Amino acid sequence: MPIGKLKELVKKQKLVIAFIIFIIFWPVVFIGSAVFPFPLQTDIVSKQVDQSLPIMDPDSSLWAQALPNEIPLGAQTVTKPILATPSIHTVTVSSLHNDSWIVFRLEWEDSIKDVSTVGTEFYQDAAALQFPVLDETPFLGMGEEEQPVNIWQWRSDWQEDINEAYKEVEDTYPNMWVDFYPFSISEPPYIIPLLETIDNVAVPGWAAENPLSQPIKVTPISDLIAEGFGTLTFKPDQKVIGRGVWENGVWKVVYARPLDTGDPSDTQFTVGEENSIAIAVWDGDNREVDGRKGVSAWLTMKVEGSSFLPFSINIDDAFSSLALVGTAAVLLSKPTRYIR
Amino acid sequence: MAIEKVRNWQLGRDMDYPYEEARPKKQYAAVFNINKCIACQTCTMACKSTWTYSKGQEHMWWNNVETKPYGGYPQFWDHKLLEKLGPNKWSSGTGHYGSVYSGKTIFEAAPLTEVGTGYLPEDKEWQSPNIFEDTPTSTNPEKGPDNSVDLETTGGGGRGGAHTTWFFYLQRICNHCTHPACLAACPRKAIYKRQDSDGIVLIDQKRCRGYRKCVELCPYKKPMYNLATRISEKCIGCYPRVEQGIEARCMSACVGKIRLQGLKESLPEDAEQNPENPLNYLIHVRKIAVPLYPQYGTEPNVYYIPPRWIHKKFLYQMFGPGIDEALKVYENMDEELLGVLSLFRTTRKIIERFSINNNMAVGYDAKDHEIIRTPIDEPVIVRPPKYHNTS
Ligand code: SF4
Ligand code: SF4
Repeated sequence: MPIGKLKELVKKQKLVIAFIIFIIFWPVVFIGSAVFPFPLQTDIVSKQVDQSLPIMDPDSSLWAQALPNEIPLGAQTVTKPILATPSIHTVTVSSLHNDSWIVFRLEWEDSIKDVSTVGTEFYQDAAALQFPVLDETPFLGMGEEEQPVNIWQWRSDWQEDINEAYKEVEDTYPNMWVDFYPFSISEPPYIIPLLETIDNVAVPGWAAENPLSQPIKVTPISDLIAEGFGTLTFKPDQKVIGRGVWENGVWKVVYARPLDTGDPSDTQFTVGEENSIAIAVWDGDNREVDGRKGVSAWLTMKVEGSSFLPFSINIDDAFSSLALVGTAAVLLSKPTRYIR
Repeated sequence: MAIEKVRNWQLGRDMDYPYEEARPKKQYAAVFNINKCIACQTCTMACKSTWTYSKGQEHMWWNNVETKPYGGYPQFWDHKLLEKLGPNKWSSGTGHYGSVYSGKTIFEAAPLTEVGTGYLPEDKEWQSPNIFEDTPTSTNPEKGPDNSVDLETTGGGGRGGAHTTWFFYLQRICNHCTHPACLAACPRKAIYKRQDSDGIVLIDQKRCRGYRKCVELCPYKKPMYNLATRISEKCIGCYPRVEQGIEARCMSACVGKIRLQGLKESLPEDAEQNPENPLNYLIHVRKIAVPLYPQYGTEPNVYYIPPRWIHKKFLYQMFGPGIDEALKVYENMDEELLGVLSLFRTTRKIIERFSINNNMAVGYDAKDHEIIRTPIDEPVIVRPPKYHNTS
């Protein structure tokens, strides 16, 4: 096509061409927005898939359909104790749903795998997701009175208990010996009894029903509720499952739960709607535990509905689309002015 | 976390603390007479066989008796904190011991990121509870324990003065502090002090999440981490016994008869109003027993009759400015004081009130029923030579 004719076409079909440019460049804008979030941009989009979800598999090929987003983490500086220099600076979040369940995957670099808490100086690696329970988004620091947050915390020591067996004193001190523990059921020849064979009257945390002290763990993820600092409490029903895997200096952790549990004290997810979400990561060998952690700001997430278009439309996307169309139109109109 | 001002009568001044002052109705307290302890560890085993015999508690000794100056469980617990806090500075003033603490408490010396200053011991430091047992040190009584600084007074309070070669036994349990550091440190508020009854400090075994901040900030290192339950535990003051008017296991088992435990008034002025309570009497009226490391600022509630043969400078660092008065009173015993001391370990019931008359010391329980009657001076009978059949 001769140059002159192309100019003429451009002049006449500005909007059409702008739209074509938009179609071509829209994905670039979308991915770019993940790195430089627009104020109105959704930080995490839970993409819809038709298959069953990888609820236990952080390496499933299905994760390729998610839109991973790298989230910066900073120190918690509101309540003591404070750790000004948490060691994990970013975490990558992905999410998928299939209309009935939702899964999240967190990935972060941690060169040392800390999975034991059987020692006074040993702390576990951990990571948690936090969501408001009610419509309003409360204070980031674990919610506020009457404005609870639902926290899903994965712990590496619980994961190890599930992968292998409940870690015991003899796992840390293989040469230990005791002659006898009262209230243990054992027969000669005496071997060091497992905790679960000791009457729990002699094991205070277990007898008090503290979930941390139960020698049999079902899920590595605790389903918790909090209304401010120091109020974190286990929910009576534990509904979150998942799994964490450490490989080559990277933790990948999957969290899974039904979108709607029917329990008003849980955060519920509705297709097509937004929720707030915050993320925290703890590094055990940096003695990160309690409020000493890497934490994100409140982020927005959207449980995306299915769409026939190759891209989804929502308010935020519409805004960016408009912006792009406008920009393209202006850009295209400039050369025509020069021609004149 | 807001910083409140709370009164600490042991320091003779108010101090910073993360919570409002909350004194209990009555305070669990004990007097330990260091001069009489034989380090038999019966107290230690009484506690161990009652509370910490199970899996995960192998390293736990809620009661321990260590040899000073080198011994310590966990190892060097006090040296490490003393080093962080710096010298123990008191100036003359109107405090209970005639002095006001002018240094910083663990709360006042806190870094900006913490509620107090402390450290988390390593696992290995809990592994030799009786390390340096009976290991003496040698110092010139004309000089200070570091062999360089002249002392104002030669020797300790003892007749004969401080010994050149010395050690002594220090009996330790949780102090059920008035301003507990463990409680202040817990980000989960899983530690509480029983305000309506006895001031015993407990860790809620259901709420603890094993963060170990209490282990880190308790200056006396009495909360400990259970390796099996992965949460922290501490001395519970034998509260099920105390609720029934019975002294703790470590107290009632004491072979050397050095211990008396009961419930006292929390403040000196209230204690002075009730001087017939043996603990009020010994601690507040006669001031014969002094707190361990009062400069840490938790207002600990185990009080010690200091050992007579130790350099005053060392005692001053460990028990604060009350030592002079305590030693003076101990060395100039009168019948009343002797009477109260002779009630030590005559009964396992908590003595709420005593009376002294006609060479008899009498103890009463909370319902004012007589529970014990003992002679102050026991008759001496000399066996004549014809009975020397075993010599
Ligand atoms: S001695 Fe330690 S554990 Fe006991 S009450 Fe005081 S601060 Fe808490
Ligand atoms: S039982 Fe009494 S005498 Fe024996 S070590 Fe304990 S405090 Fe000392």
